[in-house]
Amino acid sequence: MELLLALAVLSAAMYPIVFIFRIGSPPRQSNQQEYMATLLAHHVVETIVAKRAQDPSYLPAMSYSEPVVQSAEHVEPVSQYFRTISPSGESITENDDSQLFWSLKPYKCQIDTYYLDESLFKAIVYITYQKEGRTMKVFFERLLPQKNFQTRTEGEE
Amino acid sequence: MKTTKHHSGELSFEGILWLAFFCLIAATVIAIIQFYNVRNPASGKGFDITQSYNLILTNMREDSQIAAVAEPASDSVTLLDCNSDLVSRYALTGGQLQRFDNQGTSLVLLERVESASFTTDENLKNLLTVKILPSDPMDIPFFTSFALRGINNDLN
Repeated sequence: MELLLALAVLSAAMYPIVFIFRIGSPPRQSNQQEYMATLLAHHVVETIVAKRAQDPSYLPAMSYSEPVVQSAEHVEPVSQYFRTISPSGESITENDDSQLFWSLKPYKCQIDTYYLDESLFKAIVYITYQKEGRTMKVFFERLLPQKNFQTRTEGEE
Repeated sequence: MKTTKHHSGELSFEGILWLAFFCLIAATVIAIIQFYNVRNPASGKGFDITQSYNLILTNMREDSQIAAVAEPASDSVTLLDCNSDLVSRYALTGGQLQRFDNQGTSLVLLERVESASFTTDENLKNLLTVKILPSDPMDIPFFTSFALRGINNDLN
């Protein structure tokens, strides 16, 4: 009886330790996958912002889901936002930088650009990757005002 | 007269309560240590590298709001505003990525870094691309870009 009581009390007392260890070590791989996708989406949005600083009329072209690195497995072209990121000024291949290549290989990039209203466009950057057979998607949105859009359209007419 | 039996190996009820009490204290100590590790990006073992990456991301995003020019070197970059005044400098020294503000104060952003590169495109000088490879190949690299908004604040 005393032994059972000891086990019961000690089990209850040990539970907080087990629980703290469990919550203290979150699933690292899934977090890092999602984080990497977020960094890539950030890269694309910042590239769009920089291009618009040079040319305020720049709008990102819509694209299908395209790989971000060049590999033999991908038949699609590399996304235009990742074509000049290697030290040689081209897209990353396994020979350039293997650690970065294998980290970026699971990801694909897709751009959707919509006309909203009142000379306002919206670009949505999707970064997709596979996790346990499911397609996961991280997306960033960016509103792109076109100050000269109406004027230019009227001028063309 | 009442006698109590004490057999070797048996634990009294008070002893069990003391043990349970010490377990709870240990849980509290572990919780405090883990809380400290989560809050301290420079801490070591078991630490998720994304916490340090968040620190880099936050600092660089803030600096890119006012920086107009990036002057990249082999393993460092200097950010200048539109008046050519120093905004900040990021450098890899001794395996540590450090940020130096315009007063020269340093902040360690990430430890155990194998390499760091800061580049700007020939055709897109206002875009700073940052690549950081951690020493542990199991950790993800840091790869992203920052548009330098110091010239055109309408972009914000």
